[in-house]
Amino acid sequence: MADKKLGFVKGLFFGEVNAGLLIPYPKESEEESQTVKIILDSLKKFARERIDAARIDAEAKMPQEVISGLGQFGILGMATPEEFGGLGLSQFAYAKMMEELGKICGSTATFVGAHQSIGMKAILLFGTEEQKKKYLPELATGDKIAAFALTEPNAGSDAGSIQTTATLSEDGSSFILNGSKHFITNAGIASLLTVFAKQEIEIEGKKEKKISAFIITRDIPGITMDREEEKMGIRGSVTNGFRLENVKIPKENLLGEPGKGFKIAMEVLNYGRLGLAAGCLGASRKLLELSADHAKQREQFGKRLCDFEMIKHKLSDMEIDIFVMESIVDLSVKTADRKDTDFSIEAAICKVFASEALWRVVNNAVQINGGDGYMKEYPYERFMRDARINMIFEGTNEILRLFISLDSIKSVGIELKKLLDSLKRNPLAGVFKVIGVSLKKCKGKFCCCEAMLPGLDPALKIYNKKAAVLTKKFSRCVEKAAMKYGRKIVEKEFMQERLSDIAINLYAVYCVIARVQHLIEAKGKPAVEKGLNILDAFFDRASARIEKDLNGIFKNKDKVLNAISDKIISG
Amino acid sequence: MDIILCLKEVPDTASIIKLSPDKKSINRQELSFCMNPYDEYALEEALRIRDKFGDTKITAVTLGDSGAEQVLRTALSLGIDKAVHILTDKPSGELEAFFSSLCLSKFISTLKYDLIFCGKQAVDDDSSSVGAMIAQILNIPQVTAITKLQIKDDKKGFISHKEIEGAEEVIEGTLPALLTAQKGLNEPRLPSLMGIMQAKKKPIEKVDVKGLALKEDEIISKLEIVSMELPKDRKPGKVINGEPEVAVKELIKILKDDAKVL
Repeated sequence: MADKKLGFVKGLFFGEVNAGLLIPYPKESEEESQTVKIILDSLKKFARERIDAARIDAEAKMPQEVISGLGQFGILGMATPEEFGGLGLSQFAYAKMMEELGKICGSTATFVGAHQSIGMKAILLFGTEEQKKKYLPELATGDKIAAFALTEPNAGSDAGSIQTTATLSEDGSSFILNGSKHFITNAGIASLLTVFAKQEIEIEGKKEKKISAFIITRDIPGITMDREEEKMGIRGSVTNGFRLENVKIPKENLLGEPGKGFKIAMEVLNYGRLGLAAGCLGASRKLLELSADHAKQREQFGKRLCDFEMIKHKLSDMEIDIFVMESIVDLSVKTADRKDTDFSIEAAICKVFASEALWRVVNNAVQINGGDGYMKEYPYERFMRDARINMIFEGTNEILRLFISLDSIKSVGIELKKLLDSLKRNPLAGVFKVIGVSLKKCKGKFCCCEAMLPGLDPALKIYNKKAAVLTKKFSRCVEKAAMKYGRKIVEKEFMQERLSDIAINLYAVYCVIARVQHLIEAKGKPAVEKGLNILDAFFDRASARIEKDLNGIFKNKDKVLNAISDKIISG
Repeated sequence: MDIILCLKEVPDTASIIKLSPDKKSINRQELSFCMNPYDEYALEEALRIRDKFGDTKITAVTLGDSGAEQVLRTALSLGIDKAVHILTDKPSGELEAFFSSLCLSKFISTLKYDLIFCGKQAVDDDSSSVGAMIAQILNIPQVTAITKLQIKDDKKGFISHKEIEGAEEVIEGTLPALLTAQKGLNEPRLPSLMGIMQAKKKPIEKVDVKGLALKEDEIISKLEIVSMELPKDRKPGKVINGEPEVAVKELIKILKDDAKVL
């Protein structure tokens, strides 16, 4: 994996704003836009006639004709390179498609995401030419379905502790896999499974068990599917656990380098998270559209619902959430499409923000619709049941918050060359000791940064200035926390939560500023009144939240909360 | 066989239409566009004729500004052989029917054709006249709003069906001819993965409208749009509940006093 440039959010941890990633606003390719439009138009038409989301949910089944149809007009091969039978489109195009699917049906979106964002992604990113040639074409057309199998009954968030093993055979020609997997989307219908298992590797003379990735096809004996799970939502998607009993695969089925499976999984999940966020955006849009319609039609007390402030409050909250989601997803997929910049933190932020925003939006939608919102006759309760999983799978939002702060802080340590030695001996303590001392020296060394975004419309400069001030405060906070707690910072999850939430809100603020700037340049200020209002309202709440979290880093009730929780457990 | 398709880009039916400040045209900025639905039936029928007879070349022509190219891309992804974009300054929705017919006719007359296929009307201006005008200018037979088509085996004639008030008309004719498609003619197919991939490589021929050498009196507008207005907002319906006798009394009262239609 080639060295990538530091992402935007990691830069924020050090008070640096990598403006080049947001301004000039990255534009989508003209040529690709035409192809994307053809696909989306087909999808909308197909969905109108053939995807009955309510029925898919009620019967907990996805008709084969839906799967075939999606394959037929290219939905399942969007990200696959043309040479392997796909359309070779960008992450931006893929996100647009996932957004449309999110509007239509959560089960279908989950099926497509599990197949394409993660199921076949590992082969796409890490496969050899032979592996790509062998497996990708049939996956791109949907003739064969893929699944991503990492989670186990005893290893969910703690993915590193999986127990499935892969042992090299006596003659070295094959691997024998044993173990079990849990909650795998598409497993029951997949022909190809990307399975992660522990393999004994020799590193510098020592034997260690490290995770490797393997391609397993369903025709190989020894794979037994457990019965399909009955879920709260996304009921049309197929979720199974399965057991591997002496499953013998040719050694050519090792995917990527031995022992690098964990890294492979994490990188694949980065793409999965972007797709998931796009799906949440689509669902949110649909919910707002339906809720606004209802609020226009329904009258009580002689007025339309939309004329009452409490309803206006909800509608505006929904609109703001959607605009922010759209801004961070658009900019993050475009960062991913640059291919030269690390986007793992941005992807995690998109997933966390979008899944939680969708939950807020669907809650508001149910409320605006009142009793109807609760009835199966209307789609809201299905949207709500479908939405809930997004905060859990592809990395729980808790794990992602830890990842956002810890990986950002750790990343800088890795960048600083002089830390390499102390990192090897005592990773975290070394990092934090030196961060405090070297912070001032390293500023500006590894990112091209400016505190202010260049060329902003005067109306936006004030928000940028305030954001820059908050960014500096944030980085000083990070420094102080690192120096005060050293390696203990890993245990201080209340603090990680605050640091991550600040990072999320700061990223959102910068993305919204960049997007509004882009809209002003494209359409002229008068046409962007909605965007400016959203920026105004969102900045107000985001900056308040950031200030609150900054103050809370050192002054808080964490000890009390810990005590309350401990008492529940100890009884 | 050589088939020519006339395709038009129109605003998506889901779009919310806003008027321009002078109220003589619509604001095209926020709109999304698609192929005219009636044109899709024509396109599908052309593809089916090719599926049946083989040895058929399908050329699609569209008239409009740069945005009009999208309908040609879609048509290419469905498998047509050639795409031509007659480039104009104004978007297709702002071109008059007569002018459009003249441009298309002038260009089509340079091509070989057995059949010219259009949609029966474009859903933006609903003028329903371009197809018929082209046939008139080219002096070929025409049947509009067909719901069924059969090309004779010798490829020199056709039999078409057309719905009229309370009956169905069957019209037999010779080729070349111009036909316009009505809903129900067929079920349009969706572009396939292969089709989309191939479409990316096919070129779109560009023709400048000025190159068609229209005369001065042909370019001048024959119609002037005086003004446009949006349809009035429909008030939400009212549901009258209760037992029939009570509800009817209530309904009569509302029709008398509120709606004032009795």
